[in-house]
Amino acid sequence: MTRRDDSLIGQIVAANVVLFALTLLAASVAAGLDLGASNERWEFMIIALAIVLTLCTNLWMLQRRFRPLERLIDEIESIDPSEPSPLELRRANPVEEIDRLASSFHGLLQRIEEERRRSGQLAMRAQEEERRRLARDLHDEVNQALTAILLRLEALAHETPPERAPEVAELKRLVNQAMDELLNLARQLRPSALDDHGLVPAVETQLKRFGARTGIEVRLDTRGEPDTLPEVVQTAIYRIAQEALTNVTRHAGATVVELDLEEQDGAAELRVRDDGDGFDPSVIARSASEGPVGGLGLVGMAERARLVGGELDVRSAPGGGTTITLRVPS
Amino acid sequence: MIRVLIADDHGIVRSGLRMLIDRQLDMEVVAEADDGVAALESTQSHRPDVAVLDVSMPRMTGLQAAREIRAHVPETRVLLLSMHDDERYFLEGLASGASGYVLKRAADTDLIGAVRTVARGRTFLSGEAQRDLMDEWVEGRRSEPDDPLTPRELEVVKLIAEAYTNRQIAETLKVSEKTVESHRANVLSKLEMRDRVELVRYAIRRGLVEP
Repeated sequence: MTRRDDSLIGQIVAANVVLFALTLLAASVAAGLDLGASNERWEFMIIALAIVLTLCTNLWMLQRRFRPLERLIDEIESIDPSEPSPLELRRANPVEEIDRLASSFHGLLQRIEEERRRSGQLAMRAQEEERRRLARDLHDEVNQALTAILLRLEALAHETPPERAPEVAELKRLVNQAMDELLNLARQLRPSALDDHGLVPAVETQLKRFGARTGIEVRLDTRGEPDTLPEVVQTAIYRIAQEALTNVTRHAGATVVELDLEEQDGAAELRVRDDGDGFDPSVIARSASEGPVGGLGLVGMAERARLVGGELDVRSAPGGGTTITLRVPS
Repeated sequence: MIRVLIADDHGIVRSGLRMLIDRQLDMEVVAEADDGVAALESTQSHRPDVAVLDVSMPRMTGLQAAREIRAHVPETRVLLLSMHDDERYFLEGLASGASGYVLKRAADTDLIGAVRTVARGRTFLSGEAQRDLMDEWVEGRRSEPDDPLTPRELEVVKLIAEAYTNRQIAETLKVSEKTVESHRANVLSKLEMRDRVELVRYAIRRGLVEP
């Protein structure tokens, strides 16, 4: 940090020196000292020395006193806004005001963090709600229309001349394809199983589909009662598991994926482990700013974890597989 | 002639169903309903052979209606029509007393056959569902060395899986309702299960109920 000329210390010292010099001058005038007389020059020297000494002592004392303030400033400047909990600012300062400044700043950081988590949760909840509504509309409106078309085509097939039969069959195939795509889309938006059956069956189904689609062997182990966790935590677990599985398909080579889901006394832990090629987490961290692809969605996962008061731990090494762990305290 | 009731909250789906069913020489649609409650009332008054119910309907879902129909009009067979192909959805369907489960995406090829199958008193499941359950069934036959349940408990599990109420089970086995309840609790704790859906899956694995 570059020190400006008009720093607080400089100003106080300058003011003190001016005051001290004026006081001495006044005192010497009052005492009838004649600074012009040569025999009184040594007295002038003493006064000058006193002024310099005062200046040095003043500077030294002030610097000592102000050092905690500068440390505090350095700490505040080094705070990473993306860190979940602001680092503990140094407490028990010798100077009361600095102590108060530190603690009030700490309080401010905590309030900002709380507010951020609250509004982040609200945003996530609104997003899930919107996705749920969209998924339901796809199911209820569009898919019903397709079902009706399918049924009518089948009825039509009964009185279609044989030479037109392949055409009807092709139409039915197209409707079926559209229904499959629609269901897939709705499931990605928000699987109805999550609302109808709860977290564990939803994760189970997701994992099963993943295994069937990719040919990767999947294992699921659940302990405790994950279905009793708060809804926001359940959603976070589901979405992080979803993202983690997407990542598994991205870094190729995995043959087995293990998913452990545990609930104990209201605390949750999700672990997704694969035996794939892995990656260098530091490279990923550097490229995180390039968006979700560069960051393998890890930034989004970490953000989701943070919003429910949890933390995400990513361990991976090239050739050594990847383990992603989410921990949410109760 | 198979007398059919159709219930779906979407008019376009109902008319599609009616169009298809009415073209069959051995079937006729005797009533339509646009929600679960209407489906139940109309089943009680028309006594159809088969009630085709959409799983998700307002007021009373297809599952709830199936349970009620099973309890009040046991001679009517219920065929569920659903969008969902997750195993749990059709296990729930079977647990609520339905005889068949048809996926909407397979309605063109499966529906008519399913109506005939359940009308004959048999169970029908759409392709994928059928295959998954068959896999479990075959696997269960291969590996189920020692069973923690007593023969009496197995009888109870079979009846629960077939969606009989406690009272009906008590009547069938000539025991008190209390005894049935304690059997049910014992079975659940022995198998570390929570609900009837898991029991249905177990019953299928054990070959107590055929998918």
